[in-house]
Amino acid sequence: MNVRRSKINILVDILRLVQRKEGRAKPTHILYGANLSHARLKKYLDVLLVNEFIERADKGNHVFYRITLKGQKFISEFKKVEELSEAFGVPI
Amino acid sequence: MEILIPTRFYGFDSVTYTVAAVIGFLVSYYAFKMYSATSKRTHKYLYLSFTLLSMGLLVLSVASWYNYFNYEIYHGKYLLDQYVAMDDFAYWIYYLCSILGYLLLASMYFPEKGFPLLFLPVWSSGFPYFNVLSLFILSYAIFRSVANFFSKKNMNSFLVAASFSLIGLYHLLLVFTSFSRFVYVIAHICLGLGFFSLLVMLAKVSRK
Repeated sequence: MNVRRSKINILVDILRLVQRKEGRAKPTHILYGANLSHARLKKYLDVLLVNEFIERADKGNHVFYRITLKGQKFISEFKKVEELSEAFGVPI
Repeated sequence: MEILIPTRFYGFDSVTYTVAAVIGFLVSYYAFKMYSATSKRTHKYLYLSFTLLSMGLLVLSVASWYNYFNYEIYHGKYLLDQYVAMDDFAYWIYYLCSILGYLLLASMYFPEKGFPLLFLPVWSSGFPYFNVLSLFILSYAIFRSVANFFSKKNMNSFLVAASFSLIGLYHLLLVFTSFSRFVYVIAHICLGLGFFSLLVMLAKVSRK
């Protein structure tokens, strides 16, 4: 079944991806990992940066993203939301 | 319809309603957190349904405690009944809150346009059939939660399915309270266990 991802699911997918890369997540990694267009990725990254869930680190010519403590807490809270949703049988 | 209640059970039903209301508010709080994170219609319905159910149970528990103290301490001198029929007032609020709560719970599993359709059988039915009506509406949520358990096969979905089934059983048993005093006791045990299942599920999820 083809299920469209909600905005919150995309944001969490990006956050999880950034978390997995342990501070070395390049925009291209996120782009392919989260399966998004460049324009949409930029929009979602801006949301995460504004909310301080991720932070940008420039190293030479490269741009990296790393997850903040607030972002990690958000992921763990969202995991509870997913579990509760699954328990009641309602999709997120 | 006559409701047979064992005298020794007086007070225990009040405790059951109070505990169920507290757990219901807890579920509502978690559902609100889910809704805040996702802004999903389903989560909003879950949060509103448990808020309404808990409000109804809270009002019922107040009325039940009032009856208990009047019976046990004031020996039948119903202090406020000269001003307002406490029982009738409380039960009407409880019925209304519960029916709306169950409707929202069932609507949570319906597609977007299902909610207005679900209203149809409710407002054409009458007050004395509250428990049958509750069971009728809740049966859809029971069916969906049981189906969810069989597809997920995990403990949390089992606890939710068990909870909805036990609350449904509570309403079913209350229909037969005129036959035996024992039925009333079993019904309330089912209600207590139903909400306890939800508490266990919440504890399991929030502990992680």
